[in-house]
Amino acid sequence: MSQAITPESAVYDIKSLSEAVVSPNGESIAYVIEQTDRTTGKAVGHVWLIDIDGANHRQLSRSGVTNGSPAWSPDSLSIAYVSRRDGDHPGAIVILPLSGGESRILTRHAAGPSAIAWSPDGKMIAYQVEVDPDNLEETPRANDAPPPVIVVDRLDYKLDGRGTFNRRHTAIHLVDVESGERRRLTDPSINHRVPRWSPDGSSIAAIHAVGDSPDTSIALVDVETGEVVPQNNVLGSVSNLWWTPDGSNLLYLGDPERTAHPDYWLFDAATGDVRLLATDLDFLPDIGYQNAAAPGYPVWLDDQRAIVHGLRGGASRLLQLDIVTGQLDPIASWEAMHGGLSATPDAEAIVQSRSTLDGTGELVSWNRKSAKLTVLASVNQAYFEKSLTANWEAISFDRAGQKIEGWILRPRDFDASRLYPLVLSVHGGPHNAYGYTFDVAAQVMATHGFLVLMINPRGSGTYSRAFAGAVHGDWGGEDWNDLMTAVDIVSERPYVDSTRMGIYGYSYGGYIAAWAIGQTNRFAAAICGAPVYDMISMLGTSDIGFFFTPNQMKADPVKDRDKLIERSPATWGHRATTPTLIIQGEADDRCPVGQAEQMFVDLKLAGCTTQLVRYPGGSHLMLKLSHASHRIDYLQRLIDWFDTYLAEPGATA
Amino acid sequence: MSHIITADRAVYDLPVIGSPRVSPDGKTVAFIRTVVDRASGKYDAQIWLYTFDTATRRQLTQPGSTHSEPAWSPGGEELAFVASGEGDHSHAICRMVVASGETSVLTRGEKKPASLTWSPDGETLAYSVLIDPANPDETPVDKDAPKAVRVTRRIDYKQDGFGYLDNVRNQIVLLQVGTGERRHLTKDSVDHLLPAWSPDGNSIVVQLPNRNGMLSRCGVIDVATGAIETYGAADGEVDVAFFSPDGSRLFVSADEHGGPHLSGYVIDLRTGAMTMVLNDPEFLIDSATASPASPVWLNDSTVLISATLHGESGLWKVDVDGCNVTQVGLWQAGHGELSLPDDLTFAIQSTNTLGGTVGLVRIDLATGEKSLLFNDAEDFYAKTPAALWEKCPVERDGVIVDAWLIKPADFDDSGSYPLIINIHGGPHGSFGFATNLHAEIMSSRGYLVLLVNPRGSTTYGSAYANAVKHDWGGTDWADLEAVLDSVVARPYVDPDRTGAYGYSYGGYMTSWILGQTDRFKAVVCGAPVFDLESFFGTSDIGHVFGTEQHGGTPWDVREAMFERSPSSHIHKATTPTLIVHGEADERCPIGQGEQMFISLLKVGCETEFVRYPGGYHGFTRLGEPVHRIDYYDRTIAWFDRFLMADAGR
Repeated sequence: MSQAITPESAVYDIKSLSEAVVSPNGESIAYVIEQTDRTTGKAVGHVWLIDIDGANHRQLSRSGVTNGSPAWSPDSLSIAYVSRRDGDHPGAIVILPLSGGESRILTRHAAGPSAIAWSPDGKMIAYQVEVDPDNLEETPRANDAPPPVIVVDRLDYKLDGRGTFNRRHTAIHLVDVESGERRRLTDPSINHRVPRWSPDGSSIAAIHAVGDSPDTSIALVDVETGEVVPQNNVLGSVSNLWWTPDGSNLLYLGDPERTAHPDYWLFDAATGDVRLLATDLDFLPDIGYQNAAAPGYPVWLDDQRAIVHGLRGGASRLLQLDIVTGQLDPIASWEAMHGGLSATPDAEAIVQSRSTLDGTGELVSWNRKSAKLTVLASVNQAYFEKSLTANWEAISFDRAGQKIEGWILRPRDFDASRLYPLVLSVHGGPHNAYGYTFDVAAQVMATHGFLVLMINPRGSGTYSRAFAGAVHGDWGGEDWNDLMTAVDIVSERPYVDSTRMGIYGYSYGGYIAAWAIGQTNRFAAAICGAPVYDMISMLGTSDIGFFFTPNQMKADPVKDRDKLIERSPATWGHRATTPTLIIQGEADDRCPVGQAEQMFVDLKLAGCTTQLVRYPGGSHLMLKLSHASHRIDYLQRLIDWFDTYLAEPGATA
Repeated sequence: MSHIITADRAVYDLPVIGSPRVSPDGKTVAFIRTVVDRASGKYDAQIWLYTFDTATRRQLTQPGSTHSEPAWSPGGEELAFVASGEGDHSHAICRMVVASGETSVLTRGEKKPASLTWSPDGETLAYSVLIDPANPDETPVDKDAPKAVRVTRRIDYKQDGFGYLDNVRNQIVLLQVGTGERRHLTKDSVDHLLPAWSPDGNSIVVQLPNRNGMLSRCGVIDVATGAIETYGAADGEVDVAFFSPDGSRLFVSADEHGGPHLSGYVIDLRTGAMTMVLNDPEFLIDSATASPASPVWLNDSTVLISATLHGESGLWKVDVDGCNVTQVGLWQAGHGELSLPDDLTFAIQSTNTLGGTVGLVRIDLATGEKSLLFNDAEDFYAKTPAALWEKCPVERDGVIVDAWLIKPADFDDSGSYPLIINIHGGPHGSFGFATNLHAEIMSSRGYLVLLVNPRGSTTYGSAYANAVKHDWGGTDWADLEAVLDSVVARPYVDPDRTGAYGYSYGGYMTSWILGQTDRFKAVVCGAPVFDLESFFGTSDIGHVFGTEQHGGTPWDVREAMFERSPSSHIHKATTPTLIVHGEADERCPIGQGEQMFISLLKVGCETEFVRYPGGYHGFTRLGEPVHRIDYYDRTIAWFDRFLMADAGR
């Protein structure tokens, strides 16, 4: 019999594979494998190399606390990567010559560099790193000095996972590959990110912040003079950008209205004009890693056509984009979620990482001629041979003008003649999406013995602007009805014990779980992670609250207070009777601990069975980034709470 | 400008005198003198001894540790005290033979013991200390290990100044002086504070706070068995309790509803009956934490009480059988902790007073005569004279609203001065004749500082204190404005240069003001209560305090909370506002300041938000010294920028 995917094995044994980049000569692929170290409890990434045909799998980086973001030199002879080291200036860029010889540290910073990009002539590397205008020399602080006072005069003064910035901003830097000499290109009091060299190497395009608003635009930096020219025609949110091969234009993803569903835009570098290229897409363009350069580039076939990666219904597809006509033609799709996008120079082999409902950690190559997908590497093969993933089934139904999709995960030894407890799992965002990818928490619960229902209610990403936008101004409305209808439908099945149903969600999913216990007592147990609980206090305490809450709720905090109150779980929490576990990272700046605290006090006073679990140092991404013991603890508590409150009547716990 | 009291000097050069303990024979007083060491930037608290015969004082303990809790042995030969250093088990309980200075360590621990008290036979020391039931032996945590996950089911799971507690609570520990052996007398996961021995040494009375100290009862513990008998209303407050000399009764200050003004009761330990002997006095009986040795039984029917009336400190004798109250004395001064010798003929109190006194006073209980033993602030105020003051009460609505106007030492009534109204916390705090460091600093720079005790303030009786309940931002704000109007009308006040400063409830009021008036040119708002609903669920005391002050839970009184939340009116703000806040404040959590800051930025109001890492609610008084200096300096700079710019200085 197969083993369940236990919390401990999920955290320690499952590796991740990402950031695959093909060498410019098309012969090899560099990528990153990350695994949690059993001794230190921390995730360690290393850069690996494999031949383009899948032979010669080998580890490149050896030292460093963790390594990532490999970038090929234009001559394919070296790889630069980001490495975290011990000491006062832990953020390093390392150059590794593939011809042999030792790697060398090119430059070091107090903060971690990212988005490293080689100049076309291979002599320089551009990157972004956070700098403090008050300490440009990056002099380390004395260990026993009292922590510095934090003085804030900007809206964007903190960021989840990063904490408060004081006057720090991210600036584009250049470092000479030979000499290691470096210079800062952009103003240390304005954020500039994602440097992109023009093909002739004379200019760098970057995303720059507009004031202290969440809006971003494009800036062009003259490499020679260092002059930075903000492009004011580009409005609103720019999430990624790439030069066309001839250097005449920048293709970028823009979302000026903050719809959560960007469009393709074209920026003319000569005139500064912008053009909306393709809008109202029926897929979500892969915005890639916003602050990392390596993966997710369009694969240019010529100056006019590029292959791009998108997601639809929680699944990956490739499309061909014509930047003259704006035409988009699907060329491949899979029941899988891919990551990154990189190709051989002839664009024959397109390389991505892959995750599915049956596993994760694969490196795949899709041949454009044969339309055949080859798995080049599978780093968790042995693990998934003994720890089988859950059975799954895709479901869908129509409701209120929308097709709603979802998946049911079942225990491996599922027997339709038995009765099972069911857990409704609600994703975050609200614009995240479930799909054909490996979800650790869902797999842990399903392989332990629960049916796990994962639904993409309206508001979910990867469908369309209209579908994602349908939740705006209506949290806890039609999204909630979609979820409840899914539960109605599935609980009709003979093997579902509708007296033993639970709900679990994190972030926006935590909002829904908190909302649920104030609206219904159909759930016998709830687990609410890092919830949005009181939209008014959320607005002023979340790092993104000042724009996210008004934008999501289409509500002005002064004029539309009643709407915020009506849709806040805080307004209904006192009615709750469902035993509820609240789990929360104490250093979460996205959904701050105060949300969970308010909820806990309300439930206690209401006499509802509840427990508050706080993870010291845990950010909103604690499920990914926290110490292994905290991640294991978190996953174990999901099982334990549902085991306790969804137990069969008469069963002894 | 040599008369300026800089923040740096105020923090580094002004000593604090506290914890006076008269020796049983009445010949000496041990006390704690605390300064901040300039070299290390750390607090340095040493035990000193004042000798009446010679009127001299000398330091008993040595630098390297900070000291607290001096306690005389019953015979008066020895002092027990706590010495706190660094590293694991950094808190030591020590005994010192005072004549020789010979000192030995009795025991060490991770947490700081409090309320050291000798058994009558001198063989045992009782104290309270935080005990983690999951780690009663205080094994030091591995600093490299990930922090333990915090799992709780109790509503009072955290407390300002301590952070996350779950079941960590103060327990009573008995320490054998001869052997150093320790015994945990209590185990229930509630706080046990302020132990006091019965005259026969068979029992210990303790305060039993609950709901993060918002409410409390008292308990009498059988020393032999640990069995505990509890007294006081479940939803009431019992502040402090002491055994009568014959051991048959307890005197407690208490209230059936949680105060803030307490009455006097006697508990008959044979019958358990709790009888009121002092009904709703106008004065505020000094709280247990401020005055651990008060009240004191003078004989089997008389209790001596230290209390504050209209901001003045006084002593009263209460005949607990006749229910008579006699005033021993009342002084325009701030008096603190109380200590009496065995013969009970005089009392020693610490003092710090408007006009520049920091020291100890001796009060003769027969005559009521007061004498200052020494003034430790003489040097400080010789260089930078203390502010002048005058009372400036105003009648509003048939009630006198008490107030003080603090003036620069070189005040000239033909001048034109900017004025800052300083609003106290609580709302059940009060101004009085104790030194106000903020007022001294600001007045030395040429400001008038107005200190008002609006409705809600204590030391004026319970009706006055309770008048603010369910009416924050109403009658209290009207009181403040009434006094302000009357003072601003004076010819030497520049009405175009007024500012407001407040912390905690005072921060509530300053943020409330922002949405009510544009009369102020600058505001400094510290650790505010800003959104009554989010405060309710995030403050350590919010769920008790919020209900008591605003009449219910958010779901009971949501509209009332909304109407009286500064957050509901802040969009009208135009006054430049500095927000100062400790990041580890669990009383008025940082989220309150965050909500306020974002609101002000969004409406385009000039603002700056200053966060002090690790700062708890009391950090401006007891926190990291460099943070305290920074806090004062920013307050000064903010007011200077908006109130002094046109003054031609």
